[in-house]
Amino acid sequence: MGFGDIQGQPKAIDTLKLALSREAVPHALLFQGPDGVGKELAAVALAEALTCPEAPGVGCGECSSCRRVTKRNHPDVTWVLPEDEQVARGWAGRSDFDHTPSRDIRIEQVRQLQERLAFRALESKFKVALLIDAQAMNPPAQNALLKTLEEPPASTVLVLVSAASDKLLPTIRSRCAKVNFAPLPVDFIASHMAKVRKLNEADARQVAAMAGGSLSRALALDVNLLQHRRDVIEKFEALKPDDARGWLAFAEVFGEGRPEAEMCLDVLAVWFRDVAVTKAGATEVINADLVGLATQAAQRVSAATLQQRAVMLDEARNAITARNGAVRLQLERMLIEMMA
Amino acid sequence: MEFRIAADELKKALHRAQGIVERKATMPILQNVLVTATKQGVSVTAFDLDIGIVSDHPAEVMKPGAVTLSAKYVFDIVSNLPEAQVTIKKLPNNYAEITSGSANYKIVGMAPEEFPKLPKEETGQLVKTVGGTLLEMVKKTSFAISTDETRYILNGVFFEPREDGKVRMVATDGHRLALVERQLDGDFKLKGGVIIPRKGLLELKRLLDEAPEAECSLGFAENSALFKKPGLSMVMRLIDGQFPEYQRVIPKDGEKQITLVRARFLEGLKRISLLSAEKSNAVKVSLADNQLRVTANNPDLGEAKDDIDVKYTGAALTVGFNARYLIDVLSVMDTDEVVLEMGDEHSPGVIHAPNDRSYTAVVMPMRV
Repeated sequence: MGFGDIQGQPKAIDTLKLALSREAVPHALLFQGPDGVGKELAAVALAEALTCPEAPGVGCGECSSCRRVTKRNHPDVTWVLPEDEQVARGWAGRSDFDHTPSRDIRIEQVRQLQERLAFRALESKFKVALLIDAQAMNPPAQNALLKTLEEPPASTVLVLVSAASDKLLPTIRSRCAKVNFAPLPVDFIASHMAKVRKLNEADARQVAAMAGGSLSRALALDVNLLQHRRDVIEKFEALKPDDARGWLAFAEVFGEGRPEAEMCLDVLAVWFRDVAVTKAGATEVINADLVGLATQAAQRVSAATLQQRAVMLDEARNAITARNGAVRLQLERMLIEMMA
Repeated sequence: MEFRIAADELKKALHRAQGIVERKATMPILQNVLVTATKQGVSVTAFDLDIGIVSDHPAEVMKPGAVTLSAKYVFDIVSNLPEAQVTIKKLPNNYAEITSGSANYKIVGMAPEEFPKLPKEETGQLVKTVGGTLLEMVKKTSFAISTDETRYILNGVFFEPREDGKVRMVATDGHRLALVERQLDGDFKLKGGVIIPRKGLLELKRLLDEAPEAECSLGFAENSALFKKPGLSMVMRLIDGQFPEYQRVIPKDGEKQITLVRARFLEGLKRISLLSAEKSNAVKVSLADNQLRVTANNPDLGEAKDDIDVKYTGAALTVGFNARYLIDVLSVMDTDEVVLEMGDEHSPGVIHAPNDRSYTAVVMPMRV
């Protein structure tokens, strides 16, 4: 692990490297940007650089100290994350807590952190605290952290990592130096996915577009389901406004299970984008193999209809992922609204 | 690595470790103990980021090396072995094999390199001290340590070497302060003082209590304090920061000095504070014509007073104190008589032994 392993974030990494080389790392940093673009990796790399005895300020990534940072076994690097995230990562079991694992970072955790930061560093020059999902701190926890952010103990660096930094109190945000992590470029994710998952170019671009700039989301997508991409699009475009039986059949096929339905909606979302792009006269389509079909579709529907469809699709996706809606029913409802 | 050791010996080490190893999942490796085998024997290290204890044990070492073992599970295993001897052998992939008679275990461990590096003793760093003196110093100050986590600098005792081999220990929580100065010959090589946290001191007190007369030594590395007695050494992390300028809190010679029989004053405070308000423990200490009166007043319970004869002829004076704070001080002192110094109702009370300020306690007054 090290800065070299973080790709697609040259700006953020250069900022950090510069601060390290000048020995002027701010005592509080806020790494903000979407999920799965390398914020946490960068935070770990920074912790390594600050604590590494072999290459101080750079981080060798190989010595015992660096390896222990990655494995959470370094005494001068403290990790703080919500209990349910600890459970989700397998770092803790439910039995480690005497209550239901909380989704919040609680004030007790912040107090424990402060207790740990009160000690002098054991092995290194710096003490580092990594607050993962910092926005999960509830308001009392954030207020408790304020004092530490304002007057941190000597040689301490706090790194707040957050995909939703706007949920942090303004008082917290204003006390941190911000490092912005951008969504990864589609090309970057596509070429990475093509390499790692051995996808053809169209599929790789499809995955990259669906992942919205997040490498971890791209990696989490089930590539096998992607094979149905053409199938989904062609079947959808074959639907006729006067044939309700066709809509219901479509919902039956793709509403069989949750993963299939989510997949179908993701594919359609990208497809609507392609159609809209074609309609606007551009050629930057993701489904490069279906340009012909996109052109036909673009001629058939108005821009306003496309816009409406995108909204309806979002609603259906929300209902399925966020509210645990019945998949087939939601697909049917969406199609009826779109077609009728 | 392979060695043979008496099961009881290993059990003793792991039992001590139970109180120290991390139960929470903050750092996975800390749920384990580090077992190191050398030609001299076997040492067991337990660490919880605050304190680390290394104990040495005689063992027959076939092959030197190191392994980490789950403190909890291996303690349970060792407590249930069929025979008095146990063999521990390191297997590939950080597994450890535990064999005793017919019983055989293969236990998952973690790489010993993952274990935090505790500061090692350097030559000339440790100073031989008398355990009894050290214990006295800890006992006479540790009660005044603050429990307020937000003022972490006060969560420990300030250890400050002075001239002529004297060492000062000071603790305060902002409402009271205890200072003790004793002879601990030797050069601790400290610039200024260091702050030893409460948890380390409590463990130190426990170890010293086990054998106060035993030879022991104390020293300081950059980040921690090292304590050593035969067969056992302890590392205490130090608190980072500047201890407040405590001298400014200690009043110079107070105007009114009263000498009291310690046991009598202590008893009086204990009886009267029974009626003081539960939270504040407030009592009034009044001085007038050769009499010191302790009173408590509680609207829910009633009132109480106790008079003690003293030598005093000055103006009448009444000061409110937290009785608990006075009782804490008087309980750890060992002279028959003590001197109580007071200024006016807004100035702190000072307690020390007659003609001896090597132990001084300051208690802030209360508005009553």
